[in-house]
Amino acid sequence: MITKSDWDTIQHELLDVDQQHPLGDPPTVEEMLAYTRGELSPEDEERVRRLLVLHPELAHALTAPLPEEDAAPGEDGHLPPEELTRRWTELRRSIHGDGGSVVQFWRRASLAIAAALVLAIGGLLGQARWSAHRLQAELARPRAASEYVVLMPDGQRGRPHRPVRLAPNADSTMLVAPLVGSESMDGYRLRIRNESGAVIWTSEPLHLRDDDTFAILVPRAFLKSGKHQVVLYGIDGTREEQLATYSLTVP
Amino acid sequence: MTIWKAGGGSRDELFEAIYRKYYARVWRLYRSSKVADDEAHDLAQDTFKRFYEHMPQFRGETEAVWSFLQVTARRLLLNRIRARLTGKRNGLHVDLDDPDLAFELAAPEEPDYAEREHQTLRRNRVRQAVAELTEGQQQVLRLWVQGLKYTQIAETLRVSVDAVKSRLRDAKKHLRARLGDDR
Repeated sequence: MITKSDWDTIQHELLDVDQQHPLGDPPTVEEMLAYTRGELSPEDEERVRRLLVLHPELAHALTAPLPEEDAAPGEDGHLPPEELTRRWTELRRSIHGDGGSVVQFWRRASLAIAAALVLAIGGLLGQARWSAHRLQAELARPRAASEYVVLMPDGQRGRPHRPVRLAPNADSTMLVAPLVGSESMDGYRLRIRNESGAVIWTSEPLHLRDDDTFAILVPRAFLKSGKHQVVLYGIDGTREEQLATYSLTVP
Repeated sequence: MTIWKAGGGSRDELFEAIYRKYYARVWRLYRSSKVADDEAHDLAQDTFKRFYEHMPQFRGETEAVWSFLQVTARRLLLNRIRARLTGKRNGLHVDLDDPDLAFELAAPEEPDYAEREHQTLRRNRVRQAVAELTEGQQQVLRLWVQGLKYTQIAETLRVSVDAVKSRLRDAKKHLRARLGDDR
């Protein structure tokens, strides 16, 4: 008599045979279908046969007969009409959109993105136009400098080198750079350098004022925190000559 | 009256008629292959989505529709099983001798040495008896103990149903002779 325990051992033993002789990955779907149609070479046919034995769930799926009729009510595998209708609604939604179909999703998403872009670009254009208009209006109006600073040339004899420190909360600063002890030039130019020495602003050619100074109105937002240097150049024909530097610190 | 006439004119109306006629059968195929109910519905819906995509190719042949659904359903089912098997094969394997494994094995109950000795001898005899079967007999036996029907085993091995029956009969006969009544 073969007991249940024996059958368990038999099953285990048959499984073990497969562990000892690994055959690789399960066959592909195409291989399995070609196998059933007898289209494989003898070697491949033998390999697929062994793999199907090794994976009985594949063998079952490949050979399971499809039901020719619906199961009657009460039978195993019967699908009630309301369940059928519910699944139909899901399927239709999935095919025709409402969040289900990929094509529908991207079509809707593209339209939404395009609409959002139109709105965003329109908004940006509107905002830019309004900002330009406001700026133009502000520039046309008188504006007071909230700070007036006279810069002292660096390296003056008898004076310790101490950069001018700007006020922390000023909106804009009038910087006045005096020309001390230099002979008169055809023209002048001012440049502002940041802490790393890079030129961040260059003036048009300037003429010396009657009080031998140059004045520039600088919005505070233009100057970042740190040390800066205003450099004065004299223009002689096509040549520029550095005449003085003025150091300042922005808090 | 064919589905194409009963379904009316539009593609969607025809599709609904085909769905109502075949959906339950397709779903039953998945269920019969031990696929969980929700997943069986998902697979059945995928089958019908594929049919919907290919629908313009059909020109009113009802048999062709059912044939298409069968092939598609079987392909999806095989793909699903194969993906699961491949995932299993490539899954993480833990070495039982790994010193990092912290769990402790439960202490065995007090062994009945005589009973264990008998079971070990019996298992060895079963192993020996199975090893003596021909490869064809082992294949049939394995598919049979996994619950496949004669026709399915025959189709799997590409042999006749009579050959399946014969191999199975011989295998059982051999096992009975080797294992006998001695327990």
